[in-house]
Amino acid sequence: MYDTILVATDGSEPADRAIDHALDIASTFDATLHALFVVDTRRYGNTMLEDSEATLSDLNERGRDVLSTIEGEAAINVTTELRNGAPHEQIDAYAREIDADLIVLGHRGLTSGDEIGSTAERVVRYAERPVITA
Amino acid sequence: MYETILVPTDGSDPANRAVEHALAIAERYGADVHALYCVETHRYGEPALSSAELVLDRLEDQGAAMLDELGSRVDNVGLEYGSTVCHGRPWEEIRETADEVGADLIVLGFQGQSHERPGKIGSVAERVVRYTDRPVLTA
Repeated sequence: MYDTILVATDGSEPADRAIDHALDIASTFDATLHALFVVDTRRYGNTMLEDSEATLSDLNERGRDVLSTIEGEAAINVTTELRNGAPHEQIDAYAREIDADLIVLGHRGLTSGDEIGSTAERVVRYAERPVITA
Repeated sequence: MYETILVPTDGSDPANRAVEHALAIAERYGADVHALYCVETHRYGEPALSSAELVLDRLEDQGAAMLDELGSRVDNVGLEYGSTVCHGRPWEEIRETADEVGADLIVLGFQGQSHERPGKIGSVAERVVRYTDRPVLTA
């Protein structure tokens, strides 16, 4: 049923829960697991401002950290990918590239409160693939 | 990771797809399967009119038959099965049933029977994802 699984993370707690689910499902179904971190450039902008550039490079650094932690702690092989852009668009685009048959992501990410996050909602809504919100 | 999987179905194609996902996952994990069919009384109303009552009775019979059929499939692979037929608003009934059975995963179709715009998520799926504090697989 599942050969290629994509888990998207922003390093938040719900995203960690999503990673637990994705790792478990991937090893249970013997599937390939890809982990994607998207630096949300809508929020911080792709500008010429020096501050913003520094913020983006910090966030990229953080993304690499988050991904290498996943890689290091996982008992199975994980392919990692770091992208910049709008999270839901990048998740959808990367899912297409690897032809993921399941996307797993946190119910809400860093920037939302109790409600479902806008990224989760958009991915469920627009990615024409099975999605688990964990 | 998954011990009890709740699969609400309205017999639509996406719901059937969800059933396949639910069974595949349940089989791998040896999880119990609980199926739910909801007669949408917010759509049809709890009737005083006898003709409307007939419609609801028929829907309930169809739903029960569908759940029985699913039950034999689950039995065949040696998993525990339970089912509920209820009246009400699907997303509310799904949330309540998930609480009752302690579902650690809800699997449901991206859109159901009453949906007209292909490619767009149905309101039941959206509300379940939004308001249920449990992992949800939309298929």
